[in-house]
Amino acid sequence: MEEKMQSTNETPASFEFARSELDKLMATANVEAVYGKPIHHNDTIIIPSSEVFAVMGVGGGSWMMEPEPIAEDEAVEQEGEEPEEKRRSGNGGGGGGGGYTFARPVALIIAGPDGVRVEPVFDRTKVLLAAFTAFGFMFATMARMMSRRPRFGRM
Amino acid sequence: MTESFFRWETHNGEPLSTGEWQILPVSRALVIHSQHSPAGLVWNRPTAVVVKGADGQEHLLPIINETRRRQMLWLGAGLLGSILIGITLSLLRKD
Repeated sequence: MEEKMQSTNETPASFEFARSELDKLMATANVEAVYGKPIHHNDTIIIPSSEVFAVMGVGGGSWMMEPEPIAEDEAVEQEGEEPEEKRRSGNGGGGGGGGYTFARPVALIIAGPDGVRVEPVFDRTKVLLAAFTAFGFMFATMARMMSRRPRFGRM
Repeated sequence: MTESFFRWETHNGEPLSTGEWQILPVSRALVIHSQHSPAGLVWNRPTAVVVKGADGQEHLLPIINETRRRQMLWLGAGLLGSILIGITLSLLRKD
């Protein structure tokens, strides 16, 4: 049987929900997302600041099969049923989405009676990992160069 | 008005008054998003605070991501070191 299918113009509620979540994600581009609430301590105010990374994607689709008459040999007469109702039809859809976010403190803004200063937040673990990666890269290059045979053998 | 798919946005926050200082936080965000696409990316980070004193003078205090700066330094040093090692060993082999 040849199925005639078409995409529906109506957007399912789940997709609308996904769209609204995506709009919320886009709202993280505001300044309030990176600066925290000020912390008051005596005459000093501390404002935490962090970087925010967010990525999200959604997708999906829905389909509706055009109603078509049932073949005569398949048709079953039922009492009181109109001929228009003896049609095959159906619809379906699916969707999915995913996302990833992270936030990492960058600095503290400290405002006191003696002035305003910015204190960076230093992540030692990340820097150590970068250092190990750098040394590993150099060591791997050296090992590869040392193990390579010379192009022309010496007598 | 149509927004571009890839854009940098700079935002100023609400000024905060403390003692004789007024602090204005500033952030910068990379936004990759289109109104017609169901996907998006936001990378938002603090860039500076503008400090206004009682005398009306404004100072810009940049916020530097110290961790990222040192990460990039190490990775750059690793890349440069690898290139130098490769060149040095190639020259030694020729001798």
